Amino acid sequence: MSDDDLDRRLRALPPELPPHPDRFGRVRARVDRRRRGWAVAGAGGLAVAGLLVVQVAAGLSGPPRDDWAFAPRLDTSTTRSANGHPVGDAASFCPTLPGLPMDEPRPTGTRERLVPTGVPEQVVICAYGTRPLGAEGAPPVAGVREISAGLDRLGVDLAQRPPLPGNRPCPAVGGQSTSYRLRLSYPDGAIWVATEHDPGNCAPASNGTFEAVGFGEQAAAAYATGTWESTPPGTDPCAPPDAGSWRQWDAGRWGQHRAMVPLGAVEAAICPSADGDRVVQGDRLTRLTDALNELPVTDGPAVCGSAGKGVGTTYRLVFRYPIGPSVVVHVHPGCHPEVFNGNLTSPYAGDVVRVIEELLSG
Amino acid sequence: MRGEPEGFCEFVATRTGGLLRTAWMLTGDAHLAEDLLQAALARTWPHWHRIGEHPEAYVRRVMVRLQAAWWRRRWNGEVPTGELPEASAPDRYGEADERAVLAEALRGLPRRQRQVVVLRHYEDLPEREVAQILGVGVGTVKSQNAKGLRRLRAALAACERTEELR
Repeated sequence: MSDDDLDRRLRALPPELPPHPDRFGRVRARVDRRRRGWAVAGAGGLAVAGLLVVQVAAGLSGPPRDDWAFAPRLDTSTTRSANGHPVGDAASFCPTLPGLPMDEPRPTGTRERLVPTGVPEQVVICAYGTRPLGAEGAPPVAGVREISAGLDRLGVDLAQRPPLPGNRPCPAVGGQSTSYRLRLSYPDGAIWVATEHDPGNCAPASNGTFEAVGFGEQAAAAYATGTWESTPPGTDPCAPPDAGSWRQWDAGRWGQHRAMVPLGAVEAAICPSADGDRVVQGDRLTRLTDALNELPVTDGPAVCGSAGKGVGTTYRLVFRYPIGPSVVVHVHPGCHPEVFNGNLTSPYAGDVVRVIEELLSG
Repeated sequence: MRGEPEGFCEFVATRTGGLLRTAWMLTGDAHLAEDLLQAALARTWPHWHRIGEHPEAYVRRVMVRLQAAWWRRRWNGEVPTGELPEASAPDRYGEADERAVLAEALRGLPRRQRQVVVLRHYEDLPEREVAQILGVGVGTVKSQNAKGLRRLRAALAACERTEELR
């Protein structure tokens, strides 16, 4: 076969690709996101640069400033009221919204994660006044309290928070929202994290440089009780998720933006839309994760759009890990996309449905 | 957000069909191709005013680099193999069957070989320009191109032999 002949066949290869109905709009949205990302990164960089300049200046002009070389523990003994909702000096400690303090030495590992991996030494949470959705103006500080129990769980949950996917669908739910700021102290620094408890459970979380799926529902619970809870009690992995609500408890796990099922799962619950739940482990789990991780993937959450083929049985796959949150993978044959985990999507389910059906029948 | 640069919207509306086909050749998937094209256009936007007279060449270059970055970032399920997989159910129409085999063989090429073959034979770019876009030497382009073509030819030859046996 001559080169010309091969060239001709190659040029005839691409199928008929319909023009995207809103390609320009999608590109504009991507540009907007990139600019926001650069702005946040730039602000963070300026803050860090400013801090370095101050530190160098202090080092040159006088004795070392041990008092802020490491983040000090905060004495919250005077800030808690009798009913557990502190009011003391909250206003002087908590940042004014929409601020997110970045002037303390930050622990390492916060550019790719919301908080570093590891257990924080101390966590303090600030709550702000509720405000109607869409209202303008900064709400005042409502209170501050120390989260004194469950710090190991909190450290894992927040470090495992997956990054915020682009174009995330959010249900339009009216009502009031409450902002929270958490200050987490580690041996090598402290970091502030912002989140919001909104009616749709859709607001993101951010440490100023990394934006993740929010945890407002958990923050509200922790502020009310002073204890961090990882999982709502009595949760059945195959229970249907709340209709119209972004389930922050099911937000997933860090790493699901890189693989459909991140490494380390110990078992999976297969939850078909029809009857017949099943839990798989060992080799059967490996078959399932291999099939999912072999799919071609792209970034972004998914709203199932029927591709005209009709949607039959769908599957919700809940992958459990020894520590930290689960990963939930949705398989919707006939939809576009057919497989998604909250951060990644795959247009086609490939062998996954066959593997699932074999595991369910075997 | 600032408005789009002059001419960019028209460019996206009227001249990206060909780039989408190139993206398909690079990715082998319609959805990934659209994603790759949109990502490349988003990166082109801020530099639009200084791109000059050949914006398509610029976007094509960005697409190739992005595809390489995506490839490095995550395994995409493709395993380069010395042997082509057994063809799936044969099509009644030889041409369609041959296209499917060629598409599958192209998808099976290692990333660099696929990029070279697409730029050299689909885009019809000279070797020196392909080398520039990929940031490699002309010698590398030649050798990768030869290897890629050899595998595509082998795939088509196997397909033709199957046709003859029917």
